[in-house]
Amino acid sequence: MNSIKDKVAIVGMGCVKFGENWDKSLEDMIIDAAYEAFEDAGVDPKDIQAAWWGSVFAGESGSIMSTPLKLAYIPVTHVENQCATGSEAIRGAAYAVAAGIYDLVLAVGAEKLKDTGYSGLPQTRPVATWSYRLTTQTPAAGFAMMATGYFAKYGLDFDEGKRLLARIAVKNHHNGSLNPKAHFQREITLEQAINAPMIAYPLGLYDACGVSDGAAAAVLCRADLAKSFRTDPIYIKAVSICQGAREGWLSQVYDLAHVEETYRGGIAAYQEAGIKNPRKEISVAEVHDCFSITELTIMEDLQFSPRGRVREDIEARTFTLEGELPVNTDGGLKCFGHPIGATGLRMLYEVYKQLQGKAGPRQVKNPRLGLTHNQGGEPGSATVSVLIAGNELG
Amino acid sequence: MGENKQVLIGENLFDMSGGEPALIVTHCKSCGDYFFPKTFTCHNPECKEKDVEDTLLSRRGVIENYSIMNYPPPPPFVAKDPYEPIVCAAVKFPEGIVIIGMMENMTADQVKIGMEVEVTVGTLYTNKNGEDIIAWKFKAV
Repeated sequence: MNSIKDKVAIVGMGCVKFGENWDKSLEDMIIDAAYEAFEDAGVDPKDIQAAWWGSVFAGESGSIMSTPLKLAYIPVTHVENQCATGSEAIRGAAYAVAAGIYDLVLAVGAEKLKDTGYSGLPQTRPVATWSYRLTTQTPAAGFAMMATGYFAKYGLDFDEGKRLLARIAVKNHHNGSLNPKAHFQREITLEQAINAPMIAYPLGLYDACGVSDGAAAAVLCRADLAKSFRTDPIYIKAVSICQGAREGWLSQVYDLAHVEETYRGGIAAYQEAGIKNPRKEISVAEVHDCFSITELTIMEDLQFSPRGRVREDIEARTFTLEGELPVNTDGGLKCFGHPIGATGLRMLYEVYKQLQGKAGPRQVKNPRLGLTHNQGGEPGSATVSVLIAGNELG
Repeated sequence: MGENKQVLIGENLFDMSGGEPALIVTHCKSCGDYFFPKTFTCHNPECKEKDVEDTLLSRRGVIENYSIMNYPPPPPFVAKDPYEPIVCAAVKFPEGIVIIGMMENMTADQVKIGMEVEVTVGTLYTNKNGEDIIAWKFKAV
């Protein structure tokens, strides 16, 4: 098996302001994100040789993206892979370049959710076939069971667990307050997070991400051509997708306190990137904090914290902007919502800016490697992406 | 359950022949895993066999985990007005399988991890046509 490490570079990226973008159509957001990426890379849209388009709800085919961007008669591939859709668009684009077929390609992800009335995840079947559950259950309740599961397994009482989750929400809101592209840009206090209305016990309002519109884009090229576009390209070190094949929400060996697909997806990416100690080697990470409990378990699944001991790291402020391994420096899903097709690319936009030293007040010190992670679906049948990028070859 | 027409949420979910409801599950004779709803093969990716049989699950299990839906589930669920928070639980059965369902007649302050519960059948919600949608539920023993 080959590795994608150092074969593909990112030379331009764009990201719109996420939020309730009532004054922008899906096409407007695609154009704004893509043209920021074109200008950042210094390329003409006509130089793009192939494109990948990630969206779950925007409709069928690549034409949704090729039409507003006037990308005529080049291959445009529409991809969907749940919450990893944006990352899947990057992966398709990166593999095509790594295969030596194209020199310069585009990946775009966008979703316009607010005017669909969307609030959370839609339900399609009354009984989930492999998952031992009725779908007449809020998605928040599913993640809430991971929270009660984690608390029970590691001996946290309600107040301790709630406080731990609140610290994640406070951190991400602080980071979002420093980001003009975030949907939510206000700080919150621990007390606000702890005392917020309950959505699905023990998860409250600030434990859940919002619903936002958004779009982001990346221009990718052959690594050996990257310096002809810019002096500070970012190199892809790994792109893994990990898909569960167990029977759904609960297998008979599942402990309700982790997500195996994230653990395995992390291992695959670390192996591809040649990373032996993720905690020490990763400088900055953007992970899928659809709920605060998700970020908590991801810290252990990606081996940033030992199993059952993330509490020590959260209390030591390890994952804050000033900490040893800053996580969700742009504010995360917590402050950007989850316009599904855009999310993976929005995360990569932050990692790209961080690795270039252009993250402004959120800049972390001397970053070398950045990671993005998406987690969709349910433990047992989850779709997980892990991408690692760096600012140096080798 | 009242006077409304009753509509099962799915077929082959439970068996009432013993007088009390029991969930119909599929058991893999090779790896020992159980599946619900019943199925035609073993879905354990580490098991290559397909020698399976349908059987009835133990009627009692233990709450392994729970949440309280402080907001109603999305459609097709129709919430009562005013909405009362619903307790949902992941119940582990002696066979090893964990099944999620709603609790019958249980409030947020009553539910506890480790509590013994029993399979029951009840109304999940009443739809806009006035039909009761019937599914498996759990109740305290």
